[in-house]
Amino acid sequence: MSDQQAILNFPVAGIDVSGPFSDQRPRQLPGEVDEAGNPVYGRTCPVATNVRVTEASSLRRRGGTRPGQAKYVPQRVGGHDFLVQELARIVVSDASAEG
Amino acid sequence: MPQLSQSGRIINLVAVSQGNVYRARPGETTWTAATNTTGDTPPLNYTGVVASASNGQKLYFADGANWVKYDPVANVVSRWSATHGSLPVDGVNNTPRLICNWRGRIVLSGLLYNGQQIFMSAVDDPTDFDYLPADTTPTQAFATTVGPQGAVGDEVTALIPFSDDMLVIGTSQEIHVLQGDPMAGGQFGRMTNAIGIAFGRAFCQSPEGTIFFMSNKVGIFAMVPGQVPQSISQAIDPLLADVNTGTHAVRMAWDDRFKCLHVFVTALAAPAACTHFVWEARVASWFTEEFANNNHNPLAVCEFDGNTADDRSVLMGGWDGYVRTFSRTATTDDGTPIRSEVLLGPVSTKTLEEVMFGDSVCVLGETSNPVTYGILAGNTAEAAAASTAIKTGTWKAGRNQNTPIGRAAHSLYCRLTSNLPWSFEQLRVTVGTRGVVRGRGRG
Repeated sequence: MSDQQAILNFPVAGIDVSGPFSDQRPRQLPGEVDEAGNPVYGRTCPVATNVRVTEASSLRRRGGTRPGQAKYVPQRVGGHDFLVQELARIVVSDASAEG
Repeated sequence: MPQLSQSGRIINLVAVSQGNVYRARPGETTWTAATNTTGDTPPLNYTGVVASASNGQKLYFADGANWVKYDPVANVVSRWSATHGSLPVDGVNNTPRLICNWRGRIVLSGLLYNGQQIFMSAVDDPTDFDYLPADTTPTQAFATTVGPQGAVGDEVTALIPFSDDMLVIGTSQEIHVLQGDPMAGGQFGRMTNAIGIAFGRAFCQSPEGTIFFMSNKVGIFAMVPGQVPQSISQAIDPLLADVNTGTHAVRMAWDDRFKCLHVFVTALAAPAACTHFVWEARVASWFTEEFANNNHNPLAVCEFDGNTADDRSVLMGGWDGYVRTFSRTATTDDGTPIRSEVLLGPVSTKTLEEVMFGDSVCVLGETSNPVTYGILAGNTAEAAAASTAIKTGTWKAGRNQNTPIGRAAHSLYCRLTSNLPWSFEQLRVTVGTRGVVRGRGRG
């Protein structure tokens, strides 16, 4: 066999550890077809940690790291180094919207 | 009076820590402690997991021990007591651990010693638990202990208000749906007896209405009530198989900003290394997530939906008292580097000949940080995946110069790792074979 060019794309179809290591099959991507109307397949992989298809900085579907974490409120809840037991949202009416 | 919100609503983020209730509104940089009028200090469980549900612009809590409600306007925590009937407890006065709001009713379950029963307040009145009023009305309180429908017969593990017409009830081995208000002819129907739902809040719902949940057998399912749940986790079931739902809390959240489903699996006893899972909806693909700082593994999550883009996100409560969110601009996990890793490959031949990586050209995003590549080689793909890299190097942003690899094996992977944010375009590799004869000569 002569040398060939292989393109190794990002594993858009994500982790698949259901089959043999030697048979890391591509998976059909839901609802996607190419210009000829054929199903589009994405590579799978055995390991993909802290990565996403939709790369955080550009939101392009090209592969990269996941978004990082930032504090939503700069202060600790109650000012304590203690676990947060519950988070909830509750909406109340804002009378000032009446103007 | 200045108009504080065009939408006429104020979204409050409520947090519980050390059994106390705190409030923060979007843009606020500090938490405000609620005034506690319950007579108990703290009003809620000091360390245990707490659940809550809103009704009538108040928040009602279920922690297995206390009856507490919170008024965000007055910022007051007060005792939740019944004005009619009595609040449900089991034989040793444990209170419910499961709660939701459905059809204007507060629905409770999860009594430790009466876990198959479900209790509902009267419509729009979370203080009315009179199941047998003098005059029967369609809005009165309901309980499976009294109603003709009877109990679901199995330990209730999840209450999922799908729509006004359907309350999905997960149990330890089954899934039921309550179709219609039970005081207006509503009936329980068993959707499946093949799987149940993991305890607590191991579920969430997408904007399209699909319910995602972790089953009692730790598979991830998508479900539209009325249809059989569909597994979406076959590809990662071997990874999920190790999840211990007794020692870990499973929390799920739909992240509309990044269009993904989060499955957080967090150890309950203490901050510990955990593996979480994320499912990108656009491509239906799974990835694992790990937070290097164990304090970031959340026991409490919340799908927040404030008025600004930054306020529409999944919030995670950590072991260190901070509430965090995923941010497009955050390059670390709140100061801790994010170690990312992905394996590309394997590259092998159908004839099991040796393959050789020749030249390679990698293209990263123009603003990407460098990535470390490693070539993994082995006699089998499994051995290669577990091996130490036989060649490593660094690729930088943009189009990299040709990188000669010059390594051969029966299976080859390219591993990319980094502690900094990176983006990937493509990797082109020249691949050749070393011939069948050479292949026979290697063990």
